[in-house]
Amino acid sequence: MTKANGEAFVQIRNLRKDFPIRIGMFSHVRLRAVDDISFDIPKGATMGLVGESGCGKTTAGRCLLRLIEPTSGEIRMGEHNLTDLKSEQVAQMRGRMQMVFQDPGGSLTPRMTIGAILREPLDLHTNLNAHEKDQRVRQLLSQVGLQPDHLTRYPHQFSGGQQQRIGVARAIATHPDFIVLDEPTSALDVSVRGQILRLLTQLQEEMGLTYLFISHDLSVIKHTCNQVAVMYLGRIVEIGSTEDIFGSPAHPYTQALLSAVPIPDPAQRGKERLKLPGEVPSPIDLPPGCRLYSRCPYRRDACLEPGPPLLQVGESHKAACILVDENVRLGGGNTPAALSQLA
Amino acid sequence: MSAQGTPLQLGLDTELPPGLQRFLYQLRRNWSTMVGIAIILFFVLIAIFAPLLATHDPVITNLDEQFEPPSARHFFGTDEVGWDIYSRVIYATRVDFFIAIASVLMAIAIGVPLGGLTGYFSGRFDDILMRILDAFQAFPPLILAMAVVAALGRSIWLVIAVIAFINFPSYLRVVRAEMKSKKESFYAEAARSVGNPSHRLIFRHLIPNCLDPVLAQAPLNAGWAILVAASLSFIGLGVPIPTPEWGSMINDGVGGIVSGEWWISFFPGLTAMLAVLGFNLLSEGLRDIFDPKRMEM
Amino acid sequence: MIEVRNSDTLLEVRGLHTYFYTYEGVVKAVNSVSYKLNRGEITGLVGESGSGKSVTAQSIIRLVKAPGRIVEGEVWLDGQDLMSCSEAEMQTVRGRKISMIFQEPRAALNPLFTVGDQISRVIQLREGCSRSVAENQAVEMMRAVEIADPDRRASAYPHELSGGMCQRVMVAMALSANPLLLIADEPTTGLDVTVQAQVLDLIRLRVKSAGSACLFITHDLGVVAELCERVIVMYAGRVVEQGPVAEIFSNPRHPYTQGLIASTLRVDIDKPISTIPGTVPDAVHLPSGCTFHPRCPFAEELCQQEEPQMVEAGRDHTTRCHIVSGRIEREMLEEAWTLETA
Repeated sequence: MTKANGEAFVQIRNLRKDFPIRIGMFSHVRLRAVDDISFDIPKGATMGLVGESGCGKTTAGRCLLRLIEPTSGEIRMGEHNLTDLKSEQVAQMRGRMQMVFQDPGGSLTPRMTIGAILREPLDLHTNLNAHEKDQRVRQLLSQVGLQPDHLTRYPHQFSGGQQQRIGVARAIATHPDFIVLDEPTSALDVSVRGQILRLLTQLQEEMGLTYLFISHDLSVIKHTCNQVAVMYLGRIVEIGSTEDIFGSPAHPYTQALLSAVPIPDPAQRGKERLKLPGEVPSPIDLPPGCRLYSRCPYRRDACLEPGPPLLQVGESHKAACILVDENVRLGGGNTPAALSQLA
Repeated sequence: MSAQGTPLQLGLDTELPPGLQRFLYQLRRNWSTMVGIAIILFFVLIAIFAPLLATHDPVITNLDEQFEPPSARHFFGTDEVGWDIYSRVIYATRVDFFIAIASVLMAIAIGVPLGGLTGYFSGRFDDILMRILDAFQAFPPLILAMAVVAALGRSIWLVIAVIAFINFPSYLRVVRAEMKSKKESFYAEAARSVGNPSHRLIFRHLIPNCLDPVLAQAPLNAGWAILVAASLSFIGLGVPIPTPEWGSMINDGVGGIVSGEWWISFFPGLTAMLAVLGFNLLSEGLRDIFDPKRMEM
Repeated sequence: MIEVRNSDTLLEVRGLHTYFYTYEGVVKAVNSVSYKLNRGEITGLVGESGSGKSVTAQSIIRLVKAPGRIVEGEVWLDGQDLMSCSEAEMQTVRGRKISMIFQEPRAALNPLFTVGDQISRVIQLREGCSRSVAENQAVEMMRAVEIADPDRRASAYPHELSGGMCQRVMVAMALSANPLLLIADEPTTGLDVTVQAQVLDLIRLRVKSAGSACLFITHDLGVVAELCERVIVMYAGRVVEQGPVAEIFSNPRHPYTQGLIASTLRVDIDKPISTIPGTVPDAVHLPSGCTFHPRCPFAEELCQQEEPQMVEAGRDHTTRCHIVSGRIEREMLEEAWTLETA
């Protein structure tokens, strides 16, 4: 975990992504996968984007790199406004922003050798000669802890952990500034997960990388990120420093999410949980009010009004829940118990 | 384990291309493929060593030895102009295999890139192209071939081109279908995120991974090409005489079947059948090997 | 068939060997595995990919897929030797005595029938009752697994339900057979944590109230700690440690179990990221001696040469390690796992 040095390097403003869903031969409905999200990532920091399946975190990550086109909103990386760039200009920018994928085996082209896979970004974005490229590829391999004789092998000849090392090597080949990590460890075994997380942290320190770390796994987020944004049904419901989110979660959804994570300690079995009944509703044609309304144990009529906006909880800690406002005014803590008294 | 869907970690030290070792292993366990390969190999050797194997010149007529039945001097007998059937069957292997292989390669060269492109871009272009192909394929292929050859004249190259033209839509379709699933794969997205332009993505990353069904289909089409070439020759529209070719040789002997000179048609017919059988067995085996459901074995 | 056994023991697996004959060589997916499951208890079977945990379960119900084969071993369920059963008897065992829940609920449900139909068929098979009675019971079963609006949902097809809902249907189906043994193979792996918590609660509740035994296969130690009474840890086809859950977590004796616990990240406490060095071994060419020795920070020469035997490591707690058995004198320090190994 590198300490961030203030200045926002990646800035997202009012990002929105709609998908048309075909419901008949001629008619469409709109699925708002990402709904008006904004956040900043300082240079050299890691922003965690956490949420359950269908919350829009992966779509948001792809929009950020313009792997899919956002419907509206603004994305800035350093001095560039990515949303203004034409697609050829974006292709040129790809050397500076990269992605590491969830499925390490599936993200490597099966019929290409590791050498060819790693040489590709160099071919596309640098003017190195063949010898220099070869040297760079060898250097990359050693940076991620692989052997030079792996170059002539094919992806299926490696274990999941090694495949993800190759994925990381490809992402850092062109010295990027910004990397989106999309669930980089969720397909890996527990014993190997730590190796990849360490590698990522180490490379971040060496190369001054800025990360967006997308995951559904709160424990991984806690150990890798400086800041965390929690998403539910396309919206950010809570955002703050890692200490804020894990130490004093303010939004009922964050609280429920945290309390649902199993603790690997039998002594803590039977701890009190904030349970969310039911399931995530269909993301098509959502009502304007709080997205959690149908499942929230503290809901009230005011929650049905449009919004709620992100309300200030602490210095850099915001949550989209009207109870937070009342709670702060009442001066209570943000524990489930305190909130349930309000309810 | 394999039942869980996680790939086995292989302790491979050798640097063979992906699946080649596995491929060879499965080949060994599949007798029909082995027989197919043996037959094809047998014909290839015959084609290469034709001058050594032939006992007579295939195109020099010898009117002294007309309609000789099979004997030690003429293994397969002779026909009405005294051509040695055995030597002509041997030399015809060169012609027929050339037609089969050249037409398949040409069909692949047209069908694969076109199928890759239309599968990748989809949309209006894909819709229009596929409807044209539907209309085209609704036409009986042999009649189409006859019409083209009848209009443009007889030559071996024209036969090859016509067969390739009839065959390429099947390659286009299989590659298009593969492409539609492969373009959604993680590695396609990863390649895009590295900054690959579309053409590089299609030709470097995707098409090489769409070729398994093409490889399984190629031998089948090669066998089929031999049949079409023979059919064209049989109705007098194929490879011009005196070039030895199985179909035209069968045609030469048609009259002989009723009058007792059965060998003139029989031996080229048998040979052609054997060659087609070889290709079909090979194709069947390759299809099994490339079947994704069997990959875990 | 006279079996002397503990009255609480429902299932006993003895010396089970299941091998896969692949072209790379023989994969000893399950290698001399023995354990017991008690009535009313949930036993966690933990391991990483390739540890053989799923194959163990498939071997119990004798549904190992080719090229795998059960080579040797005994499986006793409630006094019945499953390995000597005929295939027809096995089908009855699978339908009535053992139920399974899989990781992919949607793949395990038939897409052509409504979920209500599928549950009531299981009930009909068990009770031999009429269709309408079974249908009513199916709705009750769906209510029991907390499916909201079960009357309406019973006529839904699997594709109309979410993954979590399908998994509840699977649980309802598995439990409506009233099985002696429930085998759950990573039933919550694809589910979101909030839904996972619901499904785990459900499994715990139903297993306890029915007094059946449950073998819960998972790679997630958090789930084991929340749910199970006993734990079996597998590595490269072998059981390396087993015992009561509290004991295993507070006093793990095998270095692999220690490493696994150390490398499990937690949301409740801050600690540096730990990891086990190296990778899971090649399934065909397993290391000599103790299969864990290339990754073990405490390994010595003996570990390479000789395979350790299962030894007592505490009350009802066994493990397979030369250090625990006293053949090697050495201290196992917890810090070993936090050393830089990347």
